[in-house]
Amino acid sequence: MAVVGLYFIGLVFGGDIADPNIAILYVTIAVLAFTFVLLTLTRMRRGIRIGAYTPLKVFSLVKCGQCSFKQIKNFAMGDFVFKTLGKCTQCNTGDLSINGIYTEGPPKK
Amino acid sequence: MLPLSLHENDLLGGLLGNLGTISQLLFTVLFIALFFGFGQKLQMRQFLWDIDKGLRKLDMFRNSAKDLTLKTVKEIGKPSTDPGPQINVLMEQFLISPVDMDPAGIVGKIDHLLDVRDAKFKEDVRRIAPGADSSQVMNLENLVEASWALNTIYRIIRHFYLMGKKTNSIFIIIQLQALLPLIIQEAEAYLGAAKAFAEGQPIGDGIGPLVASRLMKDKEKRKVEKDVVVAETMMEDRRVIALKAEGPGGNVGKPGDAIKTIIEENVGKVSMVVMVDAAVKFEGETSGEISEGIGAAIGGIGTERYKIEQEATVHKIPVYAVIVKESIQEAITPMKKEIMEAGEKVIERIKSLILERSKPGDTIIVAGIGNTIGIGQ
Repeated sequence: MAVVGLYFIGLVFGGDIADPNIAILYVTIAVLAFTFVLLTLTRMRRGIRIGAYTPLKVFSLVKCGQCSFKQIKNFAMGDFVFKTLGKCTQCNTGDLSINGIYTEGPPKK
Repeated sequence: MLPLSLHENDLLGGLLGNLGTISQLLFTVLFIALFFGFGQKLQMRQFLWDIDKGLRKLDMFRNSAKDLTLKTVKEIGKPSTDPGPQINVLMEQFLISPVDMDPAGIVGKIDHLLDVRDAKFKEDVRRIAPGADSSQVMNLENLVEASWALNTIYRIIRHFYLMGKKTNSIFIIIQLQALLPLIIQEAEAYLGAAKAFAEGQPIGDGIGPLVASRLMKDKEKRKVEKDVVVAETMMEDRRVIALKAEGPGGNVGKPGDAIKTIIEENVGKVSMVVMVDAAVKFEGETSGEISEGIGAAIGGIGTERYKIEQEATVHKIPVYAVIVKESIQEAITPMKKEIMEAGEKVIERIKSLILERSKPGDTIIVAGIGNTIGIGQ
């Protein structure tokens, strides 16, 4: 389509066409051809964007059952909600457990 | 000679002038014919390029999921032989749905088929991953299912692409090209799900089990029907029986059978059933929003919903639904923060529902529906 567009532009500016109506017709065809090429390229770029997969960052929210201790750590294999992780280092009485596992979603582009 | 030569020049000039006009006219006619005659063909060619590109993406997704499955099976399952060929067999597995010409009793038939499929799948996974514990087997089963889904999507799209190409049918190609972005999005979500299943991370669909597990925390639990755990708690002076699929392995259990059993255990004296589940939101709605409704909130093929509706109708028990809105992609990929935070709000909604619709001392069933991967109890 780009070649077709260029050909018609060449015809118009080559000075061979005396009839202004024909010249307008050729310019219109060239514009249509270039628009088509532009739209195709935009669509190709959009198509490529869809496929890019971004792995998500997952966090484990650790809380103490007794005090207000709260910690957010990176998810590790074997973590699950309500998994007990031992005694709280802050109050030494309560049990630390995973209260939630979540992702903040993909990074904004 | 002179007049003749002048006459020849006039002829040539006229001919050349006409030739220019004729060639312009010819070119215009040819161009219009090209657009009208071959426009559709050109468009079809472009659609085919788009589909081809999408198909390559789908192929990449299914290969990634398959590689991840193989890697995880080798890491967790510690098989003595190469699990590749057995995984390939699982990827091509299918289920033949029962004849529905005479629909009476079809729910039982489908339920039986699903049980057989589930048991076989689990057994196959256990065989290829002998080193995995029961929770890991569940996660691996979910992982293989995600890979199976990606493989099936790829095979179906390739089938229609090749068929459209072979038959030159623009209608097949247009439909495929129009649907492809949505299919790719879904496939991408399945790839995300595969990663979540491989690592045992909770997914968006797990909001129901998360709510139930919060209710049953530190309470005595017992196992009822297949892979479902139950615990009793008190809420606003009402006896609440909370249930969810047994975690933290990837599992949905059979909540229909469990609810039926609990109602029978209580001789039908249950004042209401509240079902908590993730539901697909409409575009433009916010993820993590809560809605209330009436009826059995449970997805799947429909067998579990049928059982709940049947039992509720027999005992005249009202069934209420509290749903958390999320997209289909969010439902099968790691749980987003806003969805996790909706869990507390759901408990508040259940409390107000219980206060409005029951009396102190009543028995209420709260069922957390969904995949409990990464969520213990």
